[in-house]
Amino acid sequence: MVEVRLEGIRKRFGKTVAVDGINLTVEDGEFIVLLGPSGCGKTTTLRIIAGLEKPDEGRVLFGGRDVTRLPPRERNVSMVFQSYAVWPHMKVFDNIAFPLRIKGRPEEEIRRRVKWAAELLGIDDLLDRYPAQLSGGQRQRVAVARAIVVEPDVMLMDEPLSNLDAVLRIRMRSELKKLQRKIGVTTIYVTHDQLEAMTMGDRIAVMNKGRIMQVGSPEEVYDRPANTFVATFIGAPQMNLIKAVARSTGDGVVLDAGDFKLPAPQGLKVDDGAEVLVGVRPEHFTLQGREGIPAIRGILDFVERLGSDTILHVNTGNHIVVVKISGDYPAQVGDEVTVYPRLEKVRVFDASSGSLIG
Amino acid sequence: MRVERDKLLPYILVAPSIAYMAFFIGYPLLEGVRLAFVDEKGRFTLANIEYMLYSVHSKFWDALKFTTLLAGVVIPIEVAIAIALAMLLTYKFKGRDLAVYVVVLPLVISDVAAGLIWYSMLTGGGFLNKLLLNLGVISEPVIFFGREYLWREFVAVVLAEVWRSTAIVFVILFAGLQMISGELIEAAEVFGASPMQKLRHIILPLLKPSLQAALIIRTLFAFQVFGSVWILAGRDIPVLAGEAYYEQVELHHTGVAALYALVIACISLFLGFIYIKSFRAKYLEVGV
Ligand SMILES: Nc1ncnc2c1ncn2[C@@H]1O[C@H](COP(=O)(O)OP(=O)(O)OP(=O)(O)O)[C@@H](O)[C@H]1O
Ligand SMILES: [Mg+2]
Repeated sequence: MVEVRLEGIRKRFGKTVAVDGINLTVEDGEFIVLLGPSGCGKTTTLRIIAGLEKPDEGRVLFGGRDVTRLPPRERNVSMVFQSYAVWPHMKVFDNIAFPLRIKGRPEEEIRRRVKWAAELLGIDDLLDRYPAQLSGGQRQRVAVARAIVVEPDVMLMDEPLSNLDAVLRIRMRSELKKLQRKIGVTTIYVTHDQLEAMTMGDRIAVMNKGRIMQVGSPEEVYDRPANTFVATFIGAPQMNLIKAVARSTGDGVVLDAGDFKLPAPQGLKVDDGAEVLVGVRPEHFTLQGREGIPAIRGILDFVERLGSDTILHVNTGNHIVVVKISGDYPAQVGDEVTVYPRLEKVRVFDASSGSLIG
Repeated sequence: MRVERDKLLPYILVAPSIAYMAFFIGYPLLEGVRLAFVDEKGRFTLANIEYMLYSVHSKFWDALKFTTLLAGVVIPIEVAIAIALAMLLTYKFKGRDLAVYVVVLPLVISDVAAGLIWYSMLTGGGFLNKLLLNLGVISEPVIFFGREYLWREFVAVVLAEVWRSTAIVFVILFAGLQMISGELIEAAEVFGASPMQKLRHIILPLLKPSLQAALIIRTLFAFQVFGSVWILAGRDIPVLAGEAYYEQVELHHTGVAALYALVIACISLFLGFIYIKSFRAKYLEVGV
């Protein structure tokens, strides 16, 4: 169990910059999630931590010890590979047992631990099969079992549940999280499933184009996204970003979106006439108006009925505002609707840089 | 109708190769058997076998011994070198392509030429002796050739063979190694395997199918070894193919020569069978 620190990590493949100056400290025993779109450098970052890739610049520190130049086997990590990397010539049992055998554990302990890991992942009836005789999801679980069977200092998981069905995935999420809590191993977990990130991570590091956009608790990145990338990447449907102009008036700043005006959050410091993006999540609208809350009126462009929720696309003239209402909503395309934003949830971003300013 | 065609199709497709093999392999094989076991008058005879096994003029047992010994020494050396080279050359470095090219180059050199090259290297006034003399390592030339230096001749043959035919083993293993996904090896590294453990538990098992192909091809060649031995050692080191040549060209014992050829064919078949049985990659056969 160690603290993992990345200092100014940069990695290029030919002309592609895969990792572009990452600084990140993962505390001892912490479960951190790397979240980001495809190709943003998550796997490369994990491979650098594992020692499978040497960074062009920067250092990797395990508990203060510089391991940048150490080969993987001297780092005491375990890893679930995105491609599973389950050895085809070994039966499932031998695959899971391999890390223990390399460490020279007694055969009795190996059998016990393999059985434990296989049961946890629900593959205990497959131990006698070759990987070629397994489904993709079963193979992935073998890869996870192999990673948890040892007690490493750092556990690296590259989308370990991506190939499981919804039910199994939800169960495995909580199993993995419980296990991590119990053994207290520092864990770096890659996913592009934001639900997984929100439910599992102590903290989430949101990545884009080789950089970390924001690191914070799930609540923080959801509630106060550092920029428009994080704002739109986290949450489904995406946060509305409405173009507006800030105007100073007698009683504070008003954000003028043309079709409607919203009062700015308290303490927003912005020049008069500055262009901003007003961010409101679809779930932060209500249908009931209250005193002092501006109404947003528009025509229904499109309705998505999800059963538990209804998603309305409201055309206000110059903007389309996406609104999520819980339960069914008896409206038809073409109807006129009025919605009210929850003002305390409104965020403001600088229009040119995309950074959160209020 | 359709089903009939589907059933026939494989046979139609292999027919040309079957015809080819029947004509160029099957027919000569039968002819060889006839030459070995039928005399001029068309009667069955064991005279050739008796000559080969028991005559004082025949060197069959020596030839069998030396051919086997040579194969037993040369093949493990070649496989070891080829695996090492193949692994080294999977690393990407500047000049790698050139290195691969150089390693493969001896493939195009005939066994006689290889014999001649090594003869000129190792002979009394040859390159090696000159080099060692000039460096002052030795005071007089090391003699490699001549019947009294039988084992030095053997070493010379081993050198020539290894130099010439490691390339074919290398090519097959190199190709096989490229097929193994790098992540399978990386996974072993992550879980703490040392380089030797990686080789033993991951690379060699996954290389089994290629290793099998390389061994079969190389062993077949080893039992046909002739040119380099003939140049470097003559009949001091008798080998099976060399004896076939000698019996035919020098003694005009066509029947005996044919018998040698049959012996080589039988040994090759037998060893091929053994390799296929003992190098089975079980994981490739599951679910088939
Ligand atoms: N070995 C390599 N050679 C060249 N380019 C590479 C290599 N590995 C990664 N890249 C490039 O680096 C970038 C980051 O890749 P990486 O695999 O880290 O992305 P990722 O975030 O894991 O994506 P995904 O979610 O699709 O797995 C990509 O643009 C990719 O094309
Ligand atoms: Mg990836």
